[in-house]
Amino acid sequence: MSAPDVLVIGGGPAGMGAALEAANSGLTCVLVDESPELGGQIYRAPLPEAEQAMSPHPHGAYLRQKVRESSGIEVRTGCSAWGVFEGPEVPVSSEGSTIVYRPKALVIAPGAYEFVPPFPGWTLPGVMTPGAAQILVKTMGIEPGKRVILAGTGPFLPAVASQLVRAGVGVTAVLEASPRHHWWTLPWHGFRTPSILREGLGYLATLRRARVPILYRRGIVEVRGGERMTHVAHAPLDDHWAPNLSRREEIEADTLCVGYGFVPRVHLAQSAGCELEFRDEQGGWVPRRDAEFATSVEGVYSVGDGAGVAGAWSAESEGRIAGLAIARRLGALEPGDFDRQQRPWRTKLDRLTPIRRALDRICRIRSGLFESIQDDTLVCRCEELPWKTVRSAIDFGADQFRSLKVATRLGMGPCQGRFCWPATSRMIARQCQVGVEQVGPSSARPPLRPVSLGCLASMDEEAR
Amino acid sequence: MVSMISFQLDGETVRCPPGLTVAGALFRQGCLAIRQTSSSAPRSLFCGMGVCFECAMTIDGRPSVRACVTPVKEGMVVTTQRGPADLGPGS
Repeated sequence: MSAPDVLVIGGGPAGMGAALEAANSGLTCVLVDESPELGGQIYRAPLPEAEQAMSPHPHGAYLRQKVRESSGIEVRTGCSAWGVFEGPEVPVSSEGSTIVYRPKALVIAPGAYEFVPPFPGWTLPGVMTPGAAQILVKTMGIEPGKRVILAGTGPFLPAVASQLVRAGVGVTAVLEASPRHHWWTLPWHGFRTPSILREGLGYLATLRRARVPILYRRGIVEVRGGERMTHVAHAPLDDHWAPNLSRREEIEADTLCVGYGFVPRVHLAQSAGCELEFRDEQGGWVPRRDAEFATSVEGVYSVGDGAGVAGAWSAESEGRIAGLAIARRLGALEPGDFDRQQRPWRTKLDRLTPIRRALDRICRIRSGLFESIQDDTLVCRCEELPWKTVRSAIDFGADQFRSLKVATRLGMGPCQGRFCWPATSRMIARQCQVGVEQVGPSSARPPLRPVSLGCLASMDEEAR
Repeated sequence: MVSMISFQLDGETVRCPPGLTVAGALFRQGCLAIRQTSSSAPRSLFCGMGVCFECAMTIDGRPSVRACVTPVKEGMVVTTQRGPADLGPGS
């Protein structure tokens, strides 16, 4: 058992921000992350021996440096926190051993993962998330394929597409589900954040120079292939993102990067007993939080994309404010100093709100997205469950995570429903004509990560 | 000059530069089918960040290790899983 003042789970911008502020106020802090290096997905660093990597993001490198320099922060990478028990008590396992932490305050900052709806052929090798392709090319200098198509919605698509282009990867097209004129409204909403607009325009310019077309109001309807995908079929979408199959087109491609925004990783917060609320525009179920990002559970904070998708700049600000709030709560910071120190981060957060809201509106998942699914399309990748099996269970009344799990095994594979449930819950809502919030979140039961029995056995007496 | 390391993939020796994940090293070889499901369907890298478990492989005797978050090391023994993971005797 170890009892630091603060335990931070997740070493992305949110987690690093929280740890830095808590440690600056004199608190002892442990920062754990699953990856070999801090940074999260956005500031992911290449492995130390990597020679073919692109240079890491300068702000990510700056944060990592600051964390390393801080004497109050103990960094533990390559470790998984696999549950939050009353206290809060958090078991953290690395190869073969487990330490249980009992911090005075816990910060949950696990980030988000991509939302991918099922469509025919989506399990074929070559179909991956834009994030997966980005990691291959950015941190290892490896081509995901020779002819790459990116599809889905959101600013992450042109960002990854332009990184692929700059690395010399052949990008055939980018398919964006929303109409072009919605994107034209962004300069109006983003005039207070010109650096973000500039970044976006930079991606578009790179794509234009490389003659990579961006096709708006287009979506994937099928991927074909054998041992590897060979063709992508796409079609124009209506206002609800339903494809017009009579105008279906096929293009040759060996790689499809598909992502329709992000889903917050709320399993740890759920495991802690935090109340969740449904925020469609932030990626779905998120922990309910107060103005300083405290959850409904005493001493448990949740920050960054894992508490509602809003991007790296918001994430760091949230983390900083939560870190300061914890310092005030534990008596390490005077209320007046708290007010003064949180102000710049609060201002930053406020400045980001208009462009964030505009993007949320443009990229919100529309219900027509699920219309290309066929009877034999796999819905749960882990358990290889086709839509017809899941649909008939829904028709029999299995319209919640638990009942569908019992009826079909959906969500019982190693990903624990992380990939199937966000889409399935929306398909249930569509089928039963109810709101997604009525369908409910998936459940989260520890261990949230596979843990060996040896790891459990190594826990100290007191913790068991 | 890039120093190379070598590891075993299903009994064959594969050489690659250091600093890659196992999934990265496989992609570099053009070997995409990382796993076979119970119904013999090929699966490959999908989320790339350790969430989906599609890239589960047996690495140095440990079953269902995520190839996308595991750095490749000199002398590593990597085996493709066909069907459910072999959890060893008694499973």
